[in-house]
Amino acid sequence: MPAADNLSLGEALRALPLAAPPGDNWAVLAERLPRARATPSRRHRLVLPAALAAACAVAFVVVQRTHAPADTATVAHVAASSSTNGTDAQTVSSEAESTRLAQLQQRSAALERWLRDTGRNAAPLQGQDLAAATEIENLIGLVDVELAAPRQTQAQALWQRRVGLLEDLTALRYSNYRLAAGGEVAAAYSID
Amino acid sequence: MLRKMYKYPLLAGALALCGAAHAQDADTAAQAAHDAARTARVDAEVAHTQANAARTQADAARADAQRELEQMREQMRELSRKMADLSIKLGDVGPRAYAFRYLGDPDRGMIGLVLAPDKIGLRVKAVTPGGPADKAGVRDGDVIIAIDGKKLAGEDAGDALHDLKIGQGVKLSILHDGKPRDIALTAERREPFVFSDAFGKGGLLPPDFDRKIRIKVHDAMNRAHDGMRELRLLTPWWGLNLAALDADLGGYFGTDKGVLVLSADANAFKELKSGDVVQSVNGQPVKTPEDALRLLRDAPAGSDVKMQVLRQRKPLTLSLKAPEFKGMFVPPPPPAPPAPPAPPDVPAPPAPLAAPHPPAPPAPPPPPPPPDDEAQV
Amino acid sequence: MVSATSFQIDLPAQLIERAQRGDVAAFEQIYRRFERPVFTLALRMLGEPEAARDTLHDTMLKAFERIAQFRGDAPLWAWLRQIATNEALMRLRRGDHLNASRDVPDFDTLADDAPAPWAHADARALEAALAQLPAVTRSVLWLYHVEGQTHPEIALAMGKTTSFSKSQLARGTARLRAILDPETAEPEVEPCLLPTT
Repeated sequence: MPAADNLSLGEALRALPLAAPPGDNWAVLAERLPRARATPSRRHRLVLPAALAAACAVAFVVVQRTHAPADTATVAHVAASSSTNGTDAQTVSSEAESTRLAQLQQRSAALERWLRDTGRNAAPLQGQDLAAATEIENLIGLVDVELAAPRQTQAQALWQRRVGLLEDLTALRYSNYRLAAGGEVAAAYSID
Repeated sequence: MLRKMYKYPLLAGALALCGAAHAQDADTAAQAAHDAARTARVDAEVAHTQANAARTQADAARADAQRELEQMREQMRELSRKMADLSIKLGDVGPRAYAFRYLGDPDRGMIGLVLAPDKIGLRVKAVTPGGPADKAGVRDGDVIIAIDGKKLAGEDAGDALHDLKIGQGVKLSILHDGKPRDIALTAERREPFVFSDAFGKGGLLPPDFDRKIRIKVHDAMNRAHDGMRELRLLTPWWGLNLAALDADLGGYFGTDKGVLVLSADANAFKELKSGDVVQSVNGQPVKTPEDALRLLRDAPAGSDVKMQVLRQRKPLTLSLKAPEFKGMFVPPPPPAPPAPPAPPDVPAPPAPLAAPHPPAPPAPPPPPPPPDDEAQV
Repeated sequence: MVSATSFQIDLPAQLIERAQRGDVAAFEQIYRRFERPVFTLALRMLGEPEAARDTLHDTMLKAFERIAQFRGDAPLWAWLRQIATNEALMRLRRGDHLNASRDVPDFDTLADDAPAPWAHADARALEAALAQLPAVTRSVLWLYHVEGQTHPEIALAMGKTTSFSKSQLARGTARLRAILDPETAEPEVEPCLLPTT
């Protein structure tokens, strides 16, 4: 059929049938719900969430305006090359290595900046997200201990690991941020 | 992740039960059993028995898994200590040796800075997010010109920061955008719950070390690394919902220092009430929710924990037991690392260690990065 | 014709309000309508039914806990989808998939007028081909094509750069093509493997 010939990948994927989970998953969930409910009702008594949510929404708008992607051009290029996917050939040329290292360090600094400026205003992480964020901070801490070694033999690998962990933390705080700010937040702001 | 679990029969059945029923919360399982009793007495008795059986089985499985995980962590810590000793004997002061030294000694602290020598001192290249330096406002690009009053000069500059204990104070004189600042920091502990990451893959021991031991250690560490990768961010959290206080919120609670408890798992934290402001845990000040969770988690399970809180604006000291690892879904731990090798007899002063990895063979230059078109959106 | 996303289910405002007040029966109705879209999203991204079920559970639990704070700036289905995506990505993050070395080799992208093998592949073959991709690549493909997210949105959700998202999409597409129709695939460019640390 002519229509099928023009079927794009997107259409083919969208045409895939929905999958159904086996078993009665609602029953399992329902057992936990009465307990889970305790959290929000207590919050209402504290007058907390309204103030926090409002503060986050305002903070986000402010951040949107102050973080104009002005000099993203150079940073974007640097960031782009810092995330090439496994095709970076391991070269013995120290110039290429130090460029890559500089890129990783710049990406690391950019992510730190975002976390400090924006992440600070993000809605508080809850429960498992908080545990994950704490753990990521711990993992970065250990990498930083290693980076402080007097004789550094693993610079690139360590900075690479640091960037990966910072990306995880950023994504975590950002996703929580979006949920708290409510609705679909246009991603006009990027870290690049 | 769950595929791997079925290699471990001890835990497979029980964990399948956990997965299917999510019976992590024994109390809710019992609650369900009680609800059923209202509708049918016969069913109720059966359901009650089943819930108890499920609870016992889930608890036993969880306790087993937790014990194995703790054993694994203890073994890793012991291995770190031995590897640190070995590294000293071999004269290794590389990053891995540093990691072993830090991990092997739970009293060691850090201030969370990566520094590089500069003309006038030490330049900050990276700041650990949420670490002591970060909280004090140190930024990358800042330059440290003096530590504890001593002006920095030459190579031995940063040595003062390499042997910190938890709680140790450090005074930094910093140039920020050319403007001088004095900052007082306190060293804290940042230790991942599962630290097999630091062991990484590849050679732990130098190439000229006993080959059989080297291979054994290599294999065991690789398996541990892969197995524990799934645990990477799975740490206990006990339903803790916390919020950092700021000037605005502080007005409601009588302080802007500390962390507000929104909710906590009643089983883990009977003594905590929502509305409490946690100010310190075991003497360590708590400034962010991450601080609170970290300090609670670092306390050994079952040990006594002292918490300073503000309740209804009045200071209160709570004494609680550090909770067990409830709420953490624990896949079976990987095989234990091998017994730490005995350090070799070094008859003469140790020679400096060669770089652990041979240089890579020459390869073509990397392809240009894909163009990043940032103009859109 | 299947709509762009299976999530796009509009709910009566009254149902949402009841759920926000804690009415479990109302929440159950919401659950039932979104059980399959959430499970499918997680399954496509993670590739493992058990992990997908856990993600479904965690997503719905979180939704229940937070629905009182849902303010209706955007439709509930979009909000729920956001939670589901976050949970699935969280799972990938836990397993360090987002930082592991990318296995998808750099294929030369073919000319646009090459015949599309997925036109003739049945659903099962396409699903099997998808399963061969690394989770991260597959997630980018799915979020882009099926959930209609833009590259900046995908990148931010993963903490990566926009170019990362684009290159994952390009490579994933090329790889699928190669799997489904090996005849037309260009020979692989051998990746230069980085030594593991």
